[in-house]
Amino acid sequence: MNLADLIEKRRHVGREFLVWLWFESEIFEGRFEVPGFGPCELWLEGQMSLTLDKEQSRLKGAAPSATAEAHEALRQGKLPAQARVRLTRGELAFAFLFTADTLALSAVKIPDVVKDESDERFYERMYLVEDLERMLGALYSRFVALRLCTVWDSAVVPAIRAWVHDQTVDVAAYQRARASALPIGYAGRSKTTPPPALDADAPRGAALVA
Amino acid sequence: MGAFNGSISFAKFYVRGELPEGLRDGFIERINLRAFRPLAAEEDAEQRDGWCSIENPLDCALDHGKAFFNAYLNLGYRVDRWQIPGPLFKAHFAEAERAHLAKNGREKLGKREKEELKTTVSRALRRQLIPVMKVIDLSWNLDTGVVRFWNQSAKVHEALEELFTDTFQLELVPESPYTAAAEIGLSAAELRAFEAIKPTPFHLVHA
Repeated sequence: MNLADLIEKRRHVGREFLVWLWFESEIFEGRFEVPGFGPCELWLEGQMSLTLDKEQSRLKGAAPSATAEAHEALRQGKLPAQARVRLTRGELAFAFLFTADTLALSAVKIPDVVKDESDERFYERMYLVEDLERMLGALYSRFVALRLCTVWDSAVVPAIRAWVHDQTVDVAAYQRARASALPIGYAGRSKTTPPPALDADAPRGAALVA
Repeated sequence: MGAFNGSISFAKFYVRGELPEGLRDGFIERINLRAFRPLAAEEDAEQRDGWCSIENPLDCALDHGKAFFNAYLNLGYRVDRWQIPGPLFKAHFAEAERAHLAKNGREKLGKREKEELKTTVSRALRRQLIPVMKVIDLSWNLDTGVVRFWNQSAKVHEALEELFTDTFQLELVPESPYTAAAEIGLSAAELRAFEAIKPTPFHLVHA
């Protein structure tokens, strides 16, 4: 498969990433520990659209992701294609419209830029945009690590399905399973020789899903 | 909206290819070879794109001070297009057609005559109009190899990618779930596993 095909045929991963962000933000009440950045808060707010083929549900309001309609759309097999996201770290608050298929950021609100001079304002804006991208990159990296691991099928997907169907999610068990996923680039990832789980209670076989 | 002020909405690209030695001098030369050149009424071209200063779209003679901002190479991507309003063209064409037929004692134009008359009328109108100008900011972080382009139209991206490759002999790869995964340091086995990922049906009660 060439690069253009790989780009087109793996766009669904962006929607799965957005589902996972949504799921984690609900079960952890917005609290994320972003690798390399520390504690952050992330919420989906303001607007969201979910699609399945040509069917689309557009939701607007203060917290559309928390509505019964949003979960109903998930149960119909729709996935979020676009959502407005708020991400805060300490006093830095970002908000942006996130397009899942392209991972594009639009209508980005960054913390107030204080510099007046044109060049300085540019550097400050770019610093903040790149800071936001690094945080999102760290979250995406954690998602991909989970997505490529056997815990995706054994623990993450069952937990997300329970959440989609408004059933109780065993948050502690989910956290243990999540902790057992190996970080990206781990040379020992192997389907045949799974590395030991980091937590004694975590599901075994946290290996690469081929 | 743009890199310096206004709303922040952009498309992200990764630059692929080897950066040349002494890129700053070499790049300025290459950029100026593909700097924007204004459209002329007599030309056949309907539109033209090229580089301009990010801070002044009328300034198309670029130097280091206008293009390099520490680690960033900042450019304006300028596209000018002749945009003659349909009713205006139609009225002027009808008038020219009547005059042509009367002069030649004819009742109807041939196909070729019609095309020639359209060109004549277009050029006459272009001389009275100015092209529509569109300028989009581009900012390339030379340290990270990331280009941010303040426009999200796939059609405009195609034109940008062509101009960028012509200018720098480097390729632009658009951001996507796949390209982002390739950027986060996946091992070869992980990248192969990512390439084999199938969609997850979250709505099912059981697997």
